Amino acid sequence: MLSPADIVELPDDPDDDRRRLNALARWSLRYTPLTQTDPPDGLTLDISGCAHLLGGESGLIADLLRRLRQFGIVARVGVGPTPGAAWALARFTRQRAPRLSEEEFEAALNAMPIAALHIDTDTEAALCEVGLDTIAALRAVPRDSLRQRFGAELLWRIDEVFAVHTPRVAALPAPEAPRVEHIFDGPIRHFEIVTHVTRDLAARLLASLGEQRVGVLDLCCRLTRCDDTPLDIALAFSQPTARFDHVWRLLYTRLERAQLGFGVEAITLDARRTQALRDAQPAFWLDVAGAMRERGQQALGEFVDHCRERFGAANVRRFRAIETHVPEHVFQTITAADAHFNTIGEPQGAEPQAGQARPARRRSARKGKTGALASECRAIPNDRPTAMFDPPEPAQVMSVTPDGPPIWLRWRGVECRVRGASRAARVRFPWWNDALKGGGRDYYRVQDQDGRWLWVFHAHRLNTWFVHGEWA
Amino acid sequence: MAGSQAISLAALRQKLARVGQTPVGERSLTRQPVGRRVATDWPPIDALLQGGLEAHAVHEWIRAPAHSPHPAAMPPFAILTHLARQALRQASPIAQAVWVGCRPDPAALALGAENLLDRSLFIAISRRDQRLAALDLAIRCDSIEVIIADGQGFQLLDTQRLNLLARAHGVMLLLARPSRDRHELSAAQTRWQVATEPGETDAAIAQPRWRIELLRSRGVISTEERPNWALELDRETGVVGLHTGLGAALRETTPKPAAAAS
Repeated sequence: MLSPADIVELPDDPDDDRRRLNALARWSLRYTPLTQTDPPDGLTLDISGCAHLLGGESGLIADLLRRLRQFGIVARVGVGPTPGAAWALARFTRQRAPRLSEEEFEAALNAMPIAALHIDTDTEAALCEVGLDTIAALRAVPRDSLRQRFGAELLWRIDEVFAVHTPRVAALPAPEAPRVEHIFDGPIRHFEIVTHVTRDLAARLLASLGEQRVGVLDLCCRLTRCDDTPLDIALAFSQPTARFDHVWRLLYTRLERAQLGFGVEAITLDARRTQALRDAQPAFWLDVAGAMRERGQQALGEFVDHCRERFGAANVRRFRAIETHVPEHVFQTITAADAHFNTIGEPQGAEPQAGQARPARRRSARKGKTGALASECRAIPNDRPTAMFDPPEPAQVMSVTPDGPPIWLRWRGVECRVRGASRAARVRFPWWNDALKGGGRDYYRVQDQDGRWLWVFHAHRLNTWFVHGEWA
Repeated sequence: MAGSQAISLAALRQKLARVGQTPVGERSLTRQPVGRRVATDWPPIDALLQGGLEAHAVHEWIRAPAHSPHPAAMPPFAILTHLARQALRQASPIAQAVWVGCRPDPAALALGAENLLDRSLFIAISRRDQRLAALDLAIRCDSIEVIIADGQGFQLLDTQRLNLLARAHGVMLLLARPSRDRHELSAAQTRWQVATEPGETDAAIAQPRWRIELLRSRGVISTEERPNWALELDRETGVVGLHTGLGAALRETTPKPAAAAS
């Protein structure tokens, strides 16, 4: 029995309910891309082809209910072949998440009241007046009679529940990107005015984003030009930012180069991609190391943004070591345009316990796809040159025996006498790699008369010599 | 209960004192005090330079002409990587190294137990004005401790400006320059010349070796003196150390492992 103290009064706010339902629908995109709201209190998820990712339908339902419970939401779930059937099962069965076989499913639906067809209240009242209060009773009536008396929609509802036709679940509309706009009275050709207005717009946009603790990742400044195509200035940031100084510095350099044409009629700033900002601790609560890390990441991110703006994203790079024995595949280049550019150097997760398998590393050793930090990467022996040539440079080589080490070589147009050479180290290439086709190479460390150490190889299939690197 | 409160209050007082001493948002958070030196880990050189290379200055490494057929050949990356590793070792754990040049090559960075790959950022540009612009940006970035750059074609004014910037912002800048630049005037704090030196002929035990010559060190040695040392890259550990001859002697006395042959 509830006491008055257990009752919490809250004002009815349909707008807020709708907003929260939309937020929940966006959150449920983690389960399926096809999600739509069913106001005032429902969500419809099309989980066709998605359930196996969470261990089947039962796994998905368990995960969904668990997470909703953590949010403080008590939910009922129905899984059916159509949205109508799922709607009925979620609302008109005793269990919170019924699991029914095909026969049970048909029987359960037939036993349900006609309200389970999701029909309007007038039709429901009219059906009840003539004694048709269950779905089974309704299905016993000839369809033509129902159409003449209650209209085609009732039949459509019955067909939807019994999977005669399946309406599609529409994808959730993408949330509108935060944007600010200024429309001039007429075309403006003065650069100072355009700059001033853009600056104000940027300040407004970033202030509003900052209030929501959101930073911009992709920003587009559109100059609508008179009698000309709009000019889009797109900026990309390596990490979410709401810092006006940083954004304006990059935007201004691009504005300076903009052709205003016959004048600008409107300026629009559009934050096309945003991301939650890291929660910044007040300086008082931060220890020195935490403050250093936070400032260091911010400073580095801004440096990367300036460099990619000035020199191009492809020229700002990091490298990741890959576990492969093919020398030219050891390092994977990651440019500033790649989404995971900033994750290089971050911890890769906890170390597995003793005896536990390392699936990622095993996979990488076979396919050479998954990256690992060089310190962990056991496939890079120390005995590799400190400078690698990409691609390997052809050389003319003389050796005493056909498969023996070089005694003389001509490389880059210069003849080198070989002082000493190591014995061959053979590298075989994987048969599944079409580019290499299972060929092999014999590598030699060669010292020339100047003391330079070169990494020379003989390609078996091509029967040609190359210099692949130098200890320099 | 009272004891734990006293402990937490004491910790809070300490934190307050620390915050007061090191203001958040100041450059002192990420940078070390001016005048600091980066030990090279080569004892005679550290002794001569009074502790190592100056941390907030420009240092030039020039390829010696006689030993390289290409006038554009650069000094060894292994040496520069060693110095960058030393600089980062003595810096804060979040400090980064930036490499500016036309062909970024990560091979030298992955060698050794302490790799620099995850603490390095590469700017792949070749034009002189672009390199100067990138250096300007990098020096002003708080979280960058050491910069290794292709200094090909830099003039006296460029190095003067870079040296002043490096001093003001607390960054060590290592410029790699080809042999044709050795007569170019420079404002670098130290200038080094690197030549390849032939080692043992037996490839199984021989290691890459270089002779470095200190051409100039402001305020430490006169220009007439040109001390030089031999450096050697230990392939097994990836460490560049002073060549003493002891390593080779040791290797000769120990039996060769089967893997060494490859």
